[in-house]
Amino acid sequence: MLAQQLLNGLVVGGVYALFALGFTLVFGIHHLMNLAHGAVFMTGAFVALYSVLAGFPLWAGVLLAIVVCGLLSVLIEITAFRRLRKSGEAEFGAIISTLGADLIIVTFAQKISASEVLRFPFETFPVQIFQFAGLRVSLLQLFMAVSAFVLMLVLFWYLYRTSLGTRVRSVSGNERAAVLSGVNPNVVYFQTFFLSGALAGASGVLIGLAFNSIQFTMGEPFLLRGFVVIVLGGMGSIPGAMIAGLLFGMIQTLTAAYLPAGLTDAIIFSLLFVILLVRPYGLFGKETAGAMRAER
Amino acid sequence: MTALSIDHVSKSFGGVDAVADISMQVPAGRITGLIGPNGAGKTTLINLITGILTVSKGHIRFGEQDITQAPAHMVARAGITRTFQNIRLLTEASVIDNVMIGFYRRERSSTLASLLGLPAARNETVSLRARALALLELFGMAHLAEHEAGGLAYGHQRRVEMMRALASEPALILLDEPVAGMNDVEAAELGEIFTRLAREGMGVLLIEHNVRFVTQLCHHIYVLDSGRMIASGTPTEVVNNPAVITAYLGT
Amino acid sequence: MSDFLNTYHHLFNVFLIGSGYALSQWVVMRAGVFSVATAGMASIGAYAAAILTTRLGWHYLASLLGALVLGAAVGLLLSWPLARLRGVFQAIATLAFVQVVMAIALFSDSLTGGAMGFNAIPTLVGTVETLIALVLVVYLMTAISATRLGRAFEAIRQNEAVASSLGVSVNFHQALAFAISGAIAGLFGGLEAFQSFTLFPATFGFPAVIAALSYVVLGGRRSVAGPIVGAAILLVLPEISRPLADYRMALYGAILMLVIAFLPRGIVDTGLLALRRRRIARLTPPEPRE
Repeated sequence: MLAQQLLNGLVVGGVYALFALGFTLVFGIHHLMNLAHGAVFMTGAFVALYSVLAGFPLWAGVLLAIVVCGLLSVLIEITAFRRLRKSGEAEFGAIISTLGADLIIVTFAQKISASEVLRFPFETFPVQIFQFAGLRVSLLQLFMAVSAFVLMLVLFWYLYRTSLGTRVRSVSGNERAAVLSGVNPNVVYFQTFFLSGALAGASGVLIGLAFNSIQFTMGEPFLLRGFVVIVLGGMGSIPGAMIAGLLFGMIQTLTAAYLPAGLTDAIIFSLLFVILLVRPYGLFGKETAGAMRAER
Repeated sequence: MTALSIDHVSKSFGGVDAVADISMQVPAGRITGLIGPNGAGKTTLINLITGILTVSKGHIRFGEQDITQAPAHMVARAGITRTFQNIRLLTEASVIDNVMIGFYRRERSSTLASLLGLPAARNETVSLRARALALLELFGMAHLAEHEAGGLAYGHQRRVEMMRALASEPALILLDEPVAGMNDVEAAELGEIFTRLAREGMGVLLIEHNVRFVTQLCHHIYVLDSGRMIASGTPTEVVNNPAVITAYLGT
Repeated sequence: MSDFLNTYHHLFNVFLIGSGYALSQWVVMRAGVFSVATAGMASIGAYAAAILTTRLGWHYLASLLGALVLGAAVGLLLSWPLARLRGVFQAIATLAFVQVVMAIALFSDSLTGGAMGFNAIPTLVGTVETLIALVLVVYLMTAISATRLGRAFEAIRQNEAVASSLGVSVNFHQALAFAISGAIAGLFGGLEAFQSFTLFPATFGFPAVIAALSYVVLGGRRSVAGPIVGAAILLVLPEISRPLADYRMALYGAILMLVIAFLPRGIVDTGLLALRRRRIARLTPPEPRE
């Protein structure tokens, strides 16, 4: 039974990892928080759902979701972040501005869906259970795990193996220096935000399929939990987001399985609070992140 | 008369010594100089004295008090004030507000009186404003009292920082490159102010690149290079010291 | 005529309470702390006041005082771990705090009524009491700005290193700011409890966090009038026309984005700054070039 829960948790954790990776990509490279990330996630689920309802095959819906979310994320960059890049209070401004974007997107989703909980039509994803070593794995879970894995591989390949990715990483350290060496920051921003949105959209679709309960509010709890993952893994750390995502998936599943229902949230967020106290830079983050800054 | 005494102080960052085995005295009523090429550790030493950095080894005493481990605000309360190498004004505040915050350690209103807005607290604000204005007049900047500190010319900003430091009525003032970027006339004006402060009993530690300025003003000069003290003595002795000449020519 | 008064009477009460929360949010940000704990402390104050009066039979004034003190205590407690964090991390930590409070309120249904709400709270306060409370708080906040406390807060907010170097204890002042913020939040939480028949944990969740933050961002983070003006605008705008009310959250969102892009200091602060600059320009003869 425990092993089954761990497996379930691992699968969900993979999706959390995707979500966190998208978020941390922007934070790690641009040192700005995108609070609309949860709304993008939700949009992914919506786009896939409406595509399927409109008669398209699921794979088309998934692809469309990923592209739309990537573009949505870029739109957010243009409207919410661009003006802030040169200001002194970019950190605060980014939080408020993306919060605003989040509210706008969520409200429109609410209107479009008439605040209802929507579901994929039955058998959108074939229901099939496999058994091995005493554990049950559904085809959907397999799909989720594989998708998460593949997307992460794509991300790593892009960041560490392509010249585009190298340029992206160079901007992270010092934008001015990068510009001087010929990197166009707008191109870089486009790519990172697109990727970030794509990852959020993909996680949205996967969660939408997994729990089959799609609502305009689904972004908020995911964003909040996303914070726990990101802080646990270390703000701005790519491997950290991945490992923390998997860990968190398991923690959440176990907590929900073995403890009274209402306590899950209390425990998760207390955990976040404790982590921030004890080790604000998480498992893999840089030591100076979040802690006392004597110099400004 | 309180003197600052630095005893075999070292600071290391992960095994690398920023400053090592520094010993020096900064007596009251005198101007003491600290010079050295860029990166010698002068600002690090200031940060160690003022509590922004923690000392790895050694002791720092101010009069009878051991301030080695004291946090920044406690060092300030002990009577040590500093200026910053890159000017750190409160850019959003007005000039007079910047000077008024300098009075903080001397204010007598309690927190509770301030919170409740009692007349005593409000009156103190009024009187501080008057004192700040007087200080501004002394420095010839009274007409700029309400201007935003962030928008001032460089020379004016330096003066505001000086006034703020003086407002706290320190027993010892640490000046981190106070005349950097100034022409000779402006620098000489400030130099006269420093001399007067020392004559009135304040201890002054002057860190500067402008060696001529330092030799004209200081009674005693310490020379730092790569985190170590390489010379100490009167201006004439130091200027003619071969080790010092090498250190400066070598940069 | 009485219909008009009734509708706007309720809105006015909502505005008064919202202004209170806005000031609670404002005071911590004044001291350079990026905390959004107001909603959590308000929740604690609200439930405490309701429980003290309905279950323990306390007089409502005593319950309000209890809520205030409890809020201050919680704020003080929070300040200790948060002293080690800065900026974004403080925001996340306090957001976590708000979530924990909400989760506990939902879970402890024997104490709080859980998701079904804490019911049958008598209406013990009205516009008058709330207005008095707000006026008192505004007075205290302006007092802060006119004395050394305000100067200390401002110095810390703009540059901690400078503030420390002048003898200002950052930890002490931020703890104080937290305690004051908690006291205000607790008080107004109690006031809200005594004006609502039922209390729900969700009332003090993410939307409440956004509201308090929005009032301050829109109105201004420095002047006392800022949060109040912000609250007034954001609460009145949706009332002007139906479509605005339907898209209330989107409206808030658009305002937030526009404010950060074009008026980052907030309406009142930007206005005051413009006035100050004009006054200086008029008084100062042109300076000789340096």
